[in-house]
Amino acid sequence: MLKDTFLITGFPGKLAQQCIYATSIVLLLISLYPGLVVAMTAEPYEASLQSADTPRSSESFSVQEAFDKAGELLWRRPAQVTGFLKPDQVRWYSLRLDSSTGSNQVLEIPHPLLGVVDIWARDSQGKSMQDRFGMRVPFSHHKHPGNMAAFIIPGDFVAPVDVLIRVDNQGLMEFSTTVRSVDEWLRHEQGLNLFYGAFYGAMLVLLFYNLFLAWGLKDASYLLYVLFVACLLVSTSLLSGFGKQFLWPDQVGIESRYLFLVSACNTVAGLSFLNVFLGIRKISRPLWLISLGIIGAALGLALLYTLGYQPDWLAGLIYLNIFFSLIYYMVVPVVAYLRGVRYARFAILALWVYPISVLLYFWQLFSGEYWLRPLHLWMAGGMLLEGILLSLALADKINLLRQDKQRIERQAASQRRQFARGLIHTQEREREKFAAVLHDSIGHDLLILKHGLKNLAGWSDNSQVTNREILHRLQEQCENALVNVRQLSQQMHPHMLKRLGLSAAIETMLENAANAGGLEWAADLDDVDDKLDMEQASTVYRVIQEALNNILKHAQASEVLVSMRDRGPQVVVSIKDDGTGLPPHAKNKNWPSSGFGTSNMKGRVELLSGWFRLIRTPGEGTEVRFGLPYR
Amino acid sequence: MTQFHSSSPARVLIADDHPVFRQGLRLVIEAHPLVEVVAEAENGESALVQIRYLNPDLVFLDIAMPDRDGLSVLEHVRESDNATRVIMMTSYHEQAYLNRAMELKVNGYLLKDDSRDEIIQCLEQVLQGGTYISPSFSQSSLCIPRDFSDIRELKSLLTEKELKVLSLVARFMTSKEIARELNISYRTVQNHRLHISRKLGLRGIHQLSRFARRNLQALQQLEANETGSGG
Repeated sequence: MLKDTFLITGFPGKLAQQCIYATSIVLLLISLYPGLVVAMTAEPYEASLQSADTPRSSESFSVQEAFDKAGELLWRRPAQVTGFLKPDQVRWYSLRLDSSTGSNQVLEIPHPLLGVVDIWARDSQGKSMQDRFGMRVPFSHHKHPGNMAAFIIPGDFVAPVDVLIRVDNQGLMEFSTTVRSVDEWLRHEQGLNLFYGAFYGAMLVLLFYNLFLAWGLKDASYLLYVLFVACLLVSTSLLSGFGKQFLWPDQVGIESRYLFLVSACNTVAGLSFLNVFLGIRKISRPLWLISLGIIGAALGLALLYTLGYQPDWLAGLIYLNIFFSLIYYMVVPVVAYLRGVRYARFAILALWVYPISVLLYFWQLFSGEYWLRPLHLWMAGGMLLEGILLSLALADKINLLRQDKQRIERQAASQRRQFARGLIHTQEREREKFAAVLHDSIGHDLLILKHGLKNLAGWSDNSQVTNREILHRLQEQCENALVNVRQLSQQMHPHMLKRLGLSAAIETMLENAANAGGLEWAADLDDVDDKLDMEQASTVYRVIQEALNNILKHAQASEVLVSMRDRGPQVVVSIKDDGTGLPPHAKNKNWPSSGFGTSNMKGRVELLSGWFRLIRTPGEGTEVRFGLPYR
Repeated sequence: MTQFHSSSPARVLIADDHPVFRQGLRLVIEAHPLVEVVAEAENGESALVQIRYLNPDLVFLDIAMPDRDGLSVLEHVRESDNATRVIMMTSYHEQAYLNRAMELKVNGYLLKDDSRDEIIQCLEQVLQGGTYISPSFSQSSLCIPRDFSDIRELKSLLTEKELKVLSLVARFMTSKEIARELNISYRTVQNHRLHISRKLGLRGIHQLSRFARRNLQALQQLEANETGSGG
């Protein structure tokens, strides 16, 4: 049984599935914990920064020249310049380290950089140093692991030490610096490694798990999800410096060259995943077109940048496009949920978590007050949560679809049962009726015939006149019996249906019923004999027969109008009377609103994928309306 | 039409799946001097083949037969040949069968409980080129309602109220619905309908509604004119 379920849905049982998720999330949190603790407990020394902007220049200065150039500018301008760095500007920072520890210290800018950072320092006794960190193509200065700009302030510098930092970065830039001892810094790096180890492990588990599901379910949205997670992993490797540290130590400048391309792939995979998963194309065409625009822009801009055309405005446009895609991520699942896509609920959670984590990251970056020390933990945490929640959303979809399927199956089964019961009941009822006709009418006629013949044979002294009278009576009796037999045979099997078609059969049925029940009738019947097969035609006939029986029995009607129209892909039949419009047995409150004949008619129609409606207007009459699609 | 004389009796084929009935019918019609029964068929296929091969002058056809029913045989015969005279001899007395047979240009329609005299009368009339239909069918049911191509004629026959009722009948409404629509009583609607039917020579609301639907356009035009001149 379990095996069957697994084959059909590609998923183990619901409970097992929830257990797997709960366990994996708990294990994940446990594995992330040590890295987090170590990374966070390395206490840095915070130095206050002063900053100013100058026009960009790529000149290199000696320490003295740098201080001469920047000094005047920096000390005059107010500190706390925040906001976007304009593309044609570089930013200067200055800071003073007041205490000296006697050992080497590490000054770090906790922000992944795409540009170049220069640093100049001099102590009170005139000793000086100069260093550069950079990832921009075509050069790369990358002395220390990680992608944060880190510089070593020598231990023999005597406080106070004046430090000057010049940042030339593409895109957003505002930060605080941290200064700590080499030991503390190494411990911090170790903690980060642990954290990222767990992070990569978890993301890879999600990736392979969903790859397996994609293979099992043959569902494109799983593949797109896998691609999305893969892009997240690669871009994290680029941004955090772990790729540089462990995967491609000899490659120079890969980060700044390919980061935008990977980010574009991420946008393509993410947006496509969302569109396929939630069926956006069907829900809202404008949104779908917007997503195509974002995808196209992301790919085009990133390709330009990667091929070496790197003007400053291009980076700005790329950031803008990423911003649009974030808005799209946040809006689309909400729209889908509001339009009735129930499984969008986890997607909303997932896609709000990541932008929120990005917002927190930038807020922390600009406020300078760091809650969670290595800043990119915010982003990594956001990504991880997003990955998990999206995976849950995929599982949720299967779950909801399976629930729907089960509900529909249950409904169908109960309908089938009801119809079968109805059919048996009807059959019994009809047999009862036929038995009654055979016994009471035809049997009666034959009995009289038999007695009459016996009389003729027994009384040989009858006069010729009497005999003729008796014979005449017997002949009438025979005709009576014949009429009864004909009616019975027509009811049991509508011979006309096959020979003369539906319209003639229906009109004859109406004519006979009208004669018997004192009913006036009119019919407007399109010729659909060529479009219906025998099963459908006999269903139309039987349903009208049943409706007519109901009218004769219960409706107290004087007119019945039947129409059969050829309406595009289906035939639509209406049987309308002018009776009481009340259901049979209306006085009995326990009686269900639709009588037995109704469920029988409905069952017959729905068995052939048709629809059935019963419209009652008390005092005005009843209309039975149904449609059968052509095959 | 060929006339049959005693010198050359009509060649007759009898198609029916009941042997006793075939024999009985054969006895009845062979007594007639102008008739010679040349073949019998016990199902539709056999009847069709024999008709094509023997080319009889007259065929007695049953409707309910195995393989192929009588109407289908008649349809196939009429595809190529209108000269062979065909008399339907059946137990179906429903109007619809008769209508279909008439469409297929049947020459005679008899019911199996018709008397020997009626069979002979039918035989003679058909052989003389006429058409004979069993007297069990009432003549009035055969009347086909006439179409009014000229609206003015219709307008001169019916009152304004009756025309309104007729146009609602054309829209397939019940008397109750018409009564509500025109804000008059149910009885009044029924009276109107009765009068219309009598004036137009129609029987029952089926014929009335068929007539109304056939003249729907004319009625709508009339209505439009009314409201146009009224407003």
